[in-house]
Amino acid sequence: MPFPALVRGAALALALAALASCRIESATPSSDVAAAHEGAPSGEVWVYTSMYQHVLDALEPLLKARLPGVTVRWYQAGSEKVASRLEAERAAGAVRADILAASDPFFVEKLARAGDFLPYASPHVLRAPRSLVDLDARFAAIRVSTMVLVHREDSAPPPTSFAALVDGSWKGRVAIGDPLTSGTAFTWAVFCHARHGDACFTGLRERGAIVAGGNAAVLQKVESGEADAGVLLLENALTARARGSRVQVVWPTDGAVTIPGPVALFKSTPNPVAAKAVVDVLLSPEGQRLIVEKGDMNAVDPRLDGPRGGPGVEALLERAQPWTPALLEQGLTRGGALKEAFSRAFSR
Amino acid sequence: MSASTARTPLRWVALAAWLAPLLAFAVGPVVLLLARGLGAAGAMEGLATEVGALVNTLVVSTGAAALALALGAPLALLLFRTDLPWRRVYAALFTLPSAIPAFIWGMGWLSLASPRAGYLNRLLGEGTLDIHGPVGIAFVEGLSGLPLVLLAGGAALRRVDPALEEAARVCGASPARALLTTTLPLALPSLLSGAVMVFLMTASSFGVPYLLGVSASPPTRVLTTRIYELVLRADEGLGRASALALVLLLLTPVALLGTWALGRAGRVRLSAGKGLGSRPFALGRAQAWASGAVGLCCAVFVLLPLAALLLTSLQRGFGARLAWEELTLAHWSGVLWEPRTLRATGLSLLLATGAGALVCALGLAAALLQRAFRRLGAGVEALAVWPYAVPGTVLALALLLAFSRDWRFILVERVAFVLALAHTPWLLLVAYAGKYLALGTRNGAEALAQLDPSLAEAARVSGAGPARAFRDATLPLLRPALLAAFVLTFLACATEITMSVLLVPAGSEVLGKLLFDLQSYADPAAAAVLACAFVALVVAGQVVLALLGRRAAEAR
Repeated sequence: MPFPALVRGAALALALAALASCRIESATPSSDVAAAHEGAPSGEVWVYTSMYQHVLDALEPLLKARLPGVTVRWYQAGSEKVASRLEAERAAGAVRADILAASDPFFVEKLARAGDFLPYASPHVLRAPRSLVDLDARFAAIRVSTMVLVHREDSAPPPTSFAALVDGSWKGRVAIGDPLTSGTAFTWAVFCHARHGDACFTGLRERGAIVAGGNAAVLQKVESGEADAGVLLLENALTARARGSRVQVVWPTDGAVTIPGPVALFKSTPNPVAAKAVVDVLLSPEGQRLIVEKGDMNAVDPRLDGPRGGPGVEALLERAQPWTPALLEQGLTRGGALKEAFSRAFSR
Repeated sequence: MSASTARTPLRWVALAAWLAPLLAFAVGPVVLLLARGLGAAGAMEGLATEVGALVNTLVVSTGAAALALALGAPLALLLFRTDLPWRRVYAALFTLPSAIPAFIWGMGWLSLASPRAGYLNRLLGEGTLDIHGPVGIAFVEGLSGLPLVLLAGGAALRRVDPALEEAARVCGASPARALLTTTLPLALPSLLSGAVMVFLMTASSFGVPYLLGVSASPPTRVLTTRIYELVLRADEGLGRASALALVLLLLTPVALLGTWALGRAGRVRLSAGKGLGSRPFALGRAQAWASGAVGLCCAVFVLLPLAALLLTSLQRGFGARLAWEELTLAHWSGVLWEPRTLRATGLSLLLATGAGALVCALGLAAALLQRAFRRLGAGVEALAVWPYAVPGTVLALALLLAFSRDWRFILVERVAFVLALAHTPWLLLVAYAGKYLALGTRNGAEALAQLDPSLAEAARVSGAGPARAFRDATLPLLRPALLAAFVLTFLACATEITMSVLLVPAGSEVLGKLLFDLQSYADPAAAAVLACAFVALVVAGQVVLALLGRRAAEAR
């Protein structure tokens, strides 16, 4: 059979399509267009965030109304995915994000120490409790999530403290998130480890704790009765209750674990004016109210109540275990060893 | 041939045009990954968890292969060599597991045999069965790989020369003895090579080990789930993940070598077969027993998990009380019409169509090139089929690393072509098309081999140009094979999970990823709805394929 020209044509068309899919740019490095953005905030702002999509959807109209000239683009994913994308972009030397609004205090602290952030103190931040604001103004929390205990309404008596899960004073099976893949579960594990040492993990293992993937998986195990209790984010439990689920929240007597969600500006941002304006809107009373009402998280503005009529941020911080520099150091520098200890304890 | 010698340079141009995308999007990334993995392997410490993952992978895969062999061998004998009633229906039902993603079977078994909330455990008492852990993973993977053993065994049993069995009978052996001592040993190599395929499939699967391994106590980590964890842990994880991918990749040639050796042994002995239909073995009084056993197997291993999925999809929440008034269709309407599902379905169908078209085009090109270059043809085929044997996790990781940043091709220092694939659905399309290219190549090559060149020559004699002759004479005859390749690729891509989980960009969603997310993070009932829809899609696709096959047979 003669060799058909069709194949040649198809292959050439493919090659052309590949070329066409490329973006065409000038190869000579462009002179900085950034300086143009003075005066009224305008242009594009990229926000990398692990905030829930429905909260972003609620924030969108507010941002449109306040900053008509600014287009906000979101990259929304789990905190681990946000971190991994940022790491990849940092390694390639081209961070596209202007703002990071993560829920992983350790990752933010790491970037702050590396000098990646542009110091900026929003006027709204002055009311927030001191422990939620970086004193060098490199980042500030815009929301506070809380790890609490949950159980099913019809289950046996629930545990009353995190310590009861570890020392065996409560009998039953608890579901916890996997610190190896979930950022919030990792933060909880840091607190637990700081208080109980390696006994935290071995104790959990001996009492038959179930390791579920993420927070939603923990909720699922508790709802289905697979586990008697769970360590879960307060906002997940509240949202589930609003949906008609029969989970109950128990505030642990030894203190809930708070997870501040910081926001920070990147030094490399080409549009600092607009980026600062976006941060201002997120921290403004209206933005904070949306975070409470839509996201079921605590605002950092002490004038606002907690989600679903719960305690406001100052009462919450009193109920919670305090963040100390030692804890931060622990999670930041010994995170790998901690995960290793967890795997070891649970593979026995 | 004189025409083609005149065209020789063009032939080379075509080869280059075909090779370029393959080298850039499949071979190159994997080679880069290997280089990186080799670099990282030297500097690794704290290997304890990684060795555990490797051991788990080997144990689970061996278990799955053993189960598939133990179930598949007797079933193949019963379904393809005896007068078992309903054997065609059973054969069709038992091939269903490989058409539906293993993850869905895992979901079914999870709702049947979760320690507390599983349906079976609520009937039998809490904690009787526990699907979590290595045994559960091997069980589910073994069942979903069953068709590989069954079909390989069936094909071999049909090829065995009936004269051998007759000779055994003449020498005085009973029918059963003749079957067991002559036919079975001859079919054994094929059955074993089917089991090796199950081993490979299990070693490279991600969904089921994640679903059933993470919550087990102790958590069962295998290589693929470990790679997933490491990719999430951005900082030092990627190097380690590449090293693990290297290990995973090494399992493939070893196992394939095994298949090849076994297959060769089998083929040599079977070559005497003339394709005479052998007489089905009469079961006699054992028929009732055999029928009962096969029916029970079919009900428990194939129909029960699907029924459990359906039940879960109708419950208010997984773990709710089992009563009529607790059943609801809310999830069905809620999930199927949710914008997120619709978007995911749209993107998945688009990607699957694109991948199917690419696979058909590139596969046909590969088949034609294979013909045009007689000696180089084998190399072309090897290149096209090779990504199919690479575990999905490895291929996805390779693409992720290779295209994590933009590639700039600068022209005359003025214009730069920037290939920005990272975090776009295009990367998924590349992965799907690369992985399933083998389907197009194999189908195209086989159909082309059956084709009589005289038809195209007749067209040329009648005055058509080569392109015209190809379009009018050759292509219509290739259409059934290409359509089959398209449908197979489409189904595989529409429900792909392993690669999608790693490659899907944030903000967009595909069906496989959505199913994975719903099941592992959100709501098993919602996931069950999606899984039921998947099953319906696959069954419909299989029906289309069967009709195509019948029409092709009639046309011949």
